[in-house]
Amino acid sequence: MMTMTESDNEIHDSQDEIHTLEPDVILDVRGLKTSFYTYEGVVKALDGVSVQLKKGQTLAFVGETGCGKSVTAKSIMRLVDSPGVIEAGEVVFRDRTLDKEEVISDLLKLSEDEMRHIRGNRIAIVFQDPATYPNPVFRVGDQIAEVISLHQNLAEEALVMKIDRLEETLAENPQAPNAEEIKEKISEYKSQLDDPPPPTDDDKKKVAKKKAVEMLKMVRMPSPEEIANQYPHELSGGMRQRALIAMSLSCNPQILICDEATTALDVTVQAQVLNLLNELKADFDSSIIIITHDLGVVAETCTHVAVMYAGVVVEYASTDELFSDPVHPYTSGLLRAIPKLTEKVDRLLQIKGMVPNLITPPTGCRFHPRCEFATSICSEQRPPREEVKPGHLVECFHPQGSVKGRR
Amino acid sequence: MGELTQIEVEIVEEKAPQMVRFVGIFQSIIGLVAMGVGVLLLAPLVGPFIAGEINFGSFAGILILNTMPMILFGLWLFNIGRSVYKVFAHEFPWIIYANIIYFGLLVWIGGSLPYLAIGSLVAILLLFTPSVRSYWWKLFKEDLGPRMKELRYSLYLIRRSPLVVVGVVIILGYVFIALTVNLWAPYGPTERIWTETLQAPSPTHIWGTDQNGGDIFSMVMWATRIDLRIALTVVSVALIIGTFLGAAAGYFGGAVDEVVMRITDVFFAFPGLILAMAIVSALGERNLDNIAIALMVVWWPTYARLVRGQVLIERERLYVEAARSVGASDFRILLTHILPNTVQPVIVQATLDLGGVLLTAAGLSFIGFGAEAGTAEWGLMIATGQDHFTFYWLVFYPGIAILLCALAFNLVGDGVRDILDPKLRRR
Amino acid sequence: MKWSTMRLRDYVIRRIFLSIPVIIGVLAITFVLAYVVGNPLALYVDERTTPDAYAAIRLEHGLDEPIYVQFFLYLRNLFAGDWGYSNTARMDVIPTIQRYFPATIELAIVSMIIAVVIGIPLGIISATKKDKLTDHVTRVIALAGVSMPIFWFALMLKYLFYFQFFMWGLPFLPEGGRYSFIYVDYTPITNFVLLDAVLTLNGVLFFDALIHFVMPAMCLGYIFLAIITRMMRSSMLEVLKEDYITLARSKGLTERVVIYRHALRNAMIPTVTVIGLAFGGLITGAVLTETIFSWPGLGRWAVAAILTSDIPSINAFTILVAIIFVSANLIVDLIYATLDPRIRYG
Repeated sequence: MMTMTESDNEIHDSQDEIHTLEPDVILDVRGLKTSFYTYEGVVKALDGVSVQLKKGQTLAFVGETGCGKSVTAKSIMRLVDSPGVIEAGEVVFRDRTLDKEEVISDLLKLSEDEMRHIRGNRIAIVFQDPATYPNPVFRVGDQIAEVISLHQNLAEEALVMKIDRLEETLAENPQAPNAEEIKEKISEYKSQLDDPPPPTDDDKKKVAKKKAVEMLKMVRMPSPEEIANQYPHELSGGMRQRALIAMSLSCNPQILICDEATTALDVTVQAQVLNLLNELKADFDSSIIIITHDLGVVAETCTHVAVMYAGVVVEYASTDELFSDPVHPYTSGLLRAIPKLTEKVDRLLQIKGMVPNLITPPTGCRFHPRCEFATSICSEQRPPREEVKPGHLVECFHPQGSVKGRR
Repeated sequence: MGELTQIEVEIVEEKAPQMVRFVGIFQSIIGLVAMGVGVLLLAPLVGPFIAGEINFGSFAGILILNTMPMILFGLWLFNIGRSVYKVFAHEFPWIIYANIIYFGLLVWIGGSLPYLAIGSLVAILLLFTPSVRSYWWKLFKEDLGPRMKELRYSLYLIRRSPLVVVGVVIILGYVFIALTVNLWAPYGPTERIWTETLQAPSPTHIWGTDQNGGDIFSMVMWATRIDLRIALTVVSVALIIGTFLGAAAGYFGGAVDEVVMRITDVFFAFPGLILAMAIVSALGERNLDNIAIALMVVWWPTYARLVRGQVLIERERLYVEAARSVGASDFRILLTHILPNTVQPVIVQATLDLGGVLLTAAGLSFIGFGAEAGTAEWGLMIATGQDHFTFYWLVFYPGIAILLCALAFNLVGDGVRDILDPKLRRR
Repeated sequence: MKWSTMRLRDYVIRRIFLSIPVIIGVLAITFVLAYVVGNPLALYVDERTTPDAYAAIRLEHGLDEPIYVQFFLYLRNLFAGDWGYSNTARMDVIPTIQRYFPATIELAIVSMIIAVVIGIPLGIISATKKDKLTDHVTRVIALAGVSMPIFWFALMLKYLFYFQFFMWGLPFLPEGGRYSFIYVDYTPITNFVLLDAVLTLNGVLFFDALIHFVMPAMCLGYIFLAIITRMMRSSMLEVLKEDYITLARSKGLTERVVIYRHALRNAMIPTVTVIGLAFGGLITGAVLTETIFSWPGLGRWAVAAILTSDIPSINAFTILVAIIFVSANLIVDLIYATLDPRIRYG
């Protein structure tokens, strides 16, 4: 955090730079580099990650532990903790404002204030471990309401709430002595509806809390009013995860990042949460980034996949394309490693070797020490990104699958 | 993924050479001798105590200060010998560590005891004879590799926290003063120059003189010995007793745990100084030994709780399960598997407590317990100086001595805690 | 909502019951110290006492009874309000306590307020500016406070603000006492000087008493400021590494809100414990400083009793302090339970 605030000043001036985006693309990550400065050396966790997210897509980042999936998510949100530093790259984001105007900006160059407006509001993130992420000392509903009242004006809602309440009292007791007064108040409030005055803090809190309960209902939480008043430790893991999802969806974000959001859950709950995400995506018209190492999850829920290896996106394609025609040797290795229900084998297939040490990563292609097709060029140059088929990008000198031997 | 590293399992031969057995027996004898020494320290007092010639305080003083630690220590040395006799290769290096500590202990107590330390040196030397060495050296070296790596990382962290370095330097300074003060102090600890009372700092008396003509500088320097010694004995004895009880409570649980923990609850219901005060006034006689005893009684529960907590955590670990499944005895598991893993927090606590004990002891001295008038002791010097507080140097210098010393222990304890804390030890 | 309040009440009751055995243990320890280890007759006998007279005194004090009977008698006397006679104060122990208690408590509270009000923000700043200059300075200040012999600090303050300021002709602070009885008219109502001054709307007394508070409160306050600052810093550092802080940041909250709302509430939990423990420590500090500032409180009384081996007074003081300490811990645990919802269900 520290490092980012420090570098704010220099970045601020370059705001005017005009970023271009293809239509439909809502997030474009270009050459993102993030490093961690540690005792043992500089860990180059991300070394030029490039990926695009289009509107309505569900994009998966897959790869082994330590390949930089989570760091990518945190870098997009600019939440990399010290000693991590985002060193280069662009994260271009198409922001739809309320009046449907589009603002295209590089998130890495925004000021800390502008970035805060994005976080939780335009791009929201759901973290891996529902046990440790909710704040233990605040009620679930309050934690959700906090985001809502932070990013939303709520003026209209507050006014509507007031009118509703007054009408209720009137309906209960039409002969009340101050009935006239109340009616006057209602009509006064109604006239303000076009241009609602800013609500008082108290009203705002109440409305936000009400919306929080609605959000909990939206994520299919049983008895949401009660849950909203409970503390996180009183909920089960699946419920907590749903509460976290409710929290991140509460401002109707354009992008929802799920950082291993289902890994800590057991399989049935995982399925529920995934279905929920898909439904919500349609409801809210957002795009989703799912970070996982579970290829089953990918196949079920995602439209596109980015395969990461050692801080690089080595292959990007639509899910169907990738599963049917993996081109990068690492991808095909990953797919082969999935045990199949229909076959009985003595020994599961694996990719030889270990994820490399990122302080002194292999030269050239980072996968070459483990690659069975590697030649001398692989250790000398980093392979360029190439579109082997429409919409199918690979970084490899020796692509396999249907495009094998083209080079 | 990848090839598994082959773990070389070294199977100890059924028949160990005579030499190894001999080293084991020799070490056990050293342990027995140590226990004997402990008993002998108490023996001359038993008669007079029964006859009512000496009071409970002095008797308990010798018992708690010298006899108990020595016997427990002897037990440990004996047990190491036993393990060596049974050829538990990874316990061989303990001969070195334990005998070095034993050596220090004997020198600390003094008298003719240091001659016994020759036995310890022989035991260490025997360990390096080729036939014995072949048993443990390789294992030791393998074991040392990762340890050295961690140590180097710790040293790196220490270098990065200058406050720890400052603390270590100050402590070393105090230890140096305590060890060599007799060589260079201008005046003796009780020496008085009756013609030069209450003199302001000057070249002859750089920190001035007190109302009886004692040279403040010399007295402060001499006091280093007494005060450091009190702090060290109190903490080490409290640590031994507390560890012993806490480990028993944590490992055996049930009634033992309940009893020990309820007792510590009661002890924690008093602020330390107040309880120590009550104990010293009950013991009747006012001297430094009674202060030390009172402070030990006050301090052991801290360690009992700390160790119990750690043992409770470690007890559930898989490696303990593994040790139990191969039939290791409770005592053995506790001593060789669990306790070594509780060492770090205990060491940190002990370092911090050295400062705390120093301050409390000085406080007790200040109230009027403690050493007889005229002794060179920091708390007492401040106490006598308060009647003449307009002569600031009477109070200022001893206080600075306490402050710096306690500060150094706190700096080191604090820093080392951060360095060892696995949560903060991210690379 | 209702459910959790119920749980809280159960917790309170359970916690109060748990402190009863501790109090009994405290009484047992004081009994052992006064009657078994020590000689309760030390004041009545000297080398001229004949064996016969000695036996008579023993009989009179019930010391020939078996030990458990003696313990029972001891407890009965305590609960009946017979705490013995304080030789030091030349009156019974109970009225003595009533007389000295307010002075000490008032001092402790004022010092505690100073320590908390300055210590907590200092700890937070130190943690958020970790490894910056501010942090280093704060740490050294805090560590020096923890390592400071409080009686020495008191003497040094007195030397500077009383003696040296006087010598330099500056306005100096009073040497000791709670108020200047020479020119301020004061008849105790509650025996809390500041409170009485407010109650009687006596501005002169209030100001005078405040001046008298400066040195003792500064002295005690600094030590506890140090403890609180240290604890606050370390727990804040720990909390700032927690996942829920990352979550709070990911919501787009400002750093201020993240620290003062999300982190502070969690970091306060261990700090509150330390504040409770420190309250016991304040009484300890009072023992060491009250004599220096001639503060007519429990501490000064206890030290005087120690110097004359006045066993009933020392015993009563020990019990009293333990009870204060246990109650402080009880209160802390209750605050703890309201701060941390997880506790009530543990």
